[in-house]
Amino acid sequence: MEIRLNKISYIANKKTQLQKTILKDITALIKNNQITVFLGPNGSGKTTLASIISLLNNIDSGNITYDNIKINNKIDKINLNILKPKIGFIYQNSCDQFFCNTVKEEIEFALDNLNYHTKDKAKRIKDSLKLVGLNPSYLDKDPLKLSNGEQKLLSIAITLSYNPEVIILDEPTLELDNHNQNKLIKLIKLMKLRYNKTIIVFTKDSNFAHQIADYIYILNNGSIIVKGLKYKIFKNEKLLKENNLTMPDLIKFSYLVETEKSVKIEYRDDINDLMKDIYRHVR
Amino acid sequence: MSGNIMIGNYFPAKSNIHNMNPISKIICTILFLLMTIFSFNIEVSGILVLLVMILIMNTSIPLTVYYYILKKLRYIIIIFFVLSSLITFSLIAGLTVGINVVLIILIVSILTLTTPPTEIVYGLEKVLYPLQKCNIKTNTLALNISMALRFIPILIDESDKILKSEASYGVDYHLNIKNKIKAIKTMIKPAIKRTLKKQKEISKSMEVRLFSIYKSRTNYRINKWGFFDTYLIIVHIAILIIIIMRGVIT
Repeated sequence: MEIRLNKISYIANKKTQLQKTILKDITALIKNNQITVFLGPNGSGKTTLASIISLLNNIDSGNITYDNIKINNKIDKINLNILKPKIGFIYQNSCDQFFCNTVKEEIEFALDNLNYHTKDKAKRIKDSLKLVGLNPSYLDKDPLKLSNGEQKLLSIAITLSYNPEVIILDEPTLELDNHNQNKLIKLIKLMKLRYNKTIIVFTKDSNFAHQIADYIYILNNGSIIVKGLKYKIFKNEKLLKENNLTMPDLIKFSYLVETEKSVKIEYRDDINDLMKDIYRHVR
Repeated sequence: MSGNIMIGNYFPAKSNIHNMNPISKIICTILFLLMTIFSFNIEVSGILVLLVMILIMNTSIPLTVYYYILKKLRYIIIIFFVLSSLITFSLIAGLTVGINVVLIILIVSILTLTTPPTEIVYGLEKVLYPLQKCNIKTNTLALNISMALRFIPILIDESDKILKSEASYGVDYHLNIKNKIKAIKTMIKPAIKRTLKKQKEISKSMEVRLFSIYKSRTNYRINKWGFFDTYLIIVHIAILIIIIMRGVIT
């Protein structure tokens, strides 16, 4: 599914003394079967934009087009009903997503209310957990009593269970250790390559963005500052610094070697490929 | 995250009501609640509406804030109106009760919007002090009441989050009446559960900051008693006496 954002604006606490413009004239194109990353520091409007694209918040002006369906600032019940099963949203704070007594009920709620038809619901639920590395023993557990990492994995499992076309992740690495972060990166790439999902990630973690992004938008103070392919964005040290972002470690290494030692090494996504380049140079 | 203004949340502003002593604000709130108890007809409710409007004008808080609070609690108001109309077989009586419920919500909102939570605890402790003669731990009671008020916005926030989460799974509260009922039915228990969980976290946070009800505490704000405090209490007492006398005579 292709999503077009056209001059979206959002104002919080309208007509009160605490009124604040969170998003100003956001225009972006999220291509089908691509991983688009919105990278931005704290308070840039990432979570608000994520909730708008996932249809949880109304916009104040502008419109969003999902393939041929246009959504503007009016509540369009018919189109919302069509779009909701196609969009999966994974919360920044996973515990905000849970409201059932057990893990099984959480996944069942999504399958039942989004009219996901399956011959074997129980198998579907177990497979969703297996995909994120949780075993069936979690089915009877209380979601609120799981650890932060387990809650994050569960929220991903719930979203994957009803097979949405678009998966939106808001700060997905926040509660995950290194092992689970690497697992998540592999899972995101699998969703894109094997299952042709459109994936949108909102994060402030440059290293994570570097490993998964096809296209990057830098968001700051509610506006899009710059957009482009990841190497173009990440090589620009000044731009990253101005927007309180850090250069990914692998890019930084290649960048420093080029600028300080005048040795050109390719910019790589994977450390193993970078090590091969260095070895070739040393030889 | 939602930034909503709620009953129980302090709204900073510069106004006569904000500058009042918390003790006088609590006394006025109690007097007003007594007035609503004694208001049996719509004319008296009209006088109370006028009083509340004057108080609201003196808070320098936008009317949209109060409108938003009433909008959030509209179902409670409707339930009271319907139940009292059915019990008394009178729409006028139902309307009087409905208006009184609105007034109670507004007067408590005025108190919580214009008084920081710590000041409410201070005010309650002082107002409830005479109860210590009856061996009642007024400082604990004051803290419990203040925490109860503080948890209303937390409960509403958690309910909002759950409704949004349900909406992402196709049960959208705003879509139709069937979805509304399903959303509310599924929301009540987890909202209370999550609020209680937050309550435990807040208690731990207070403990970490060495808060203890068994130790004497000082108040860093200087709460002066001004002319406006005395004036407003006298006005409230006068209106209450008039309402009671009117009830006795008629």
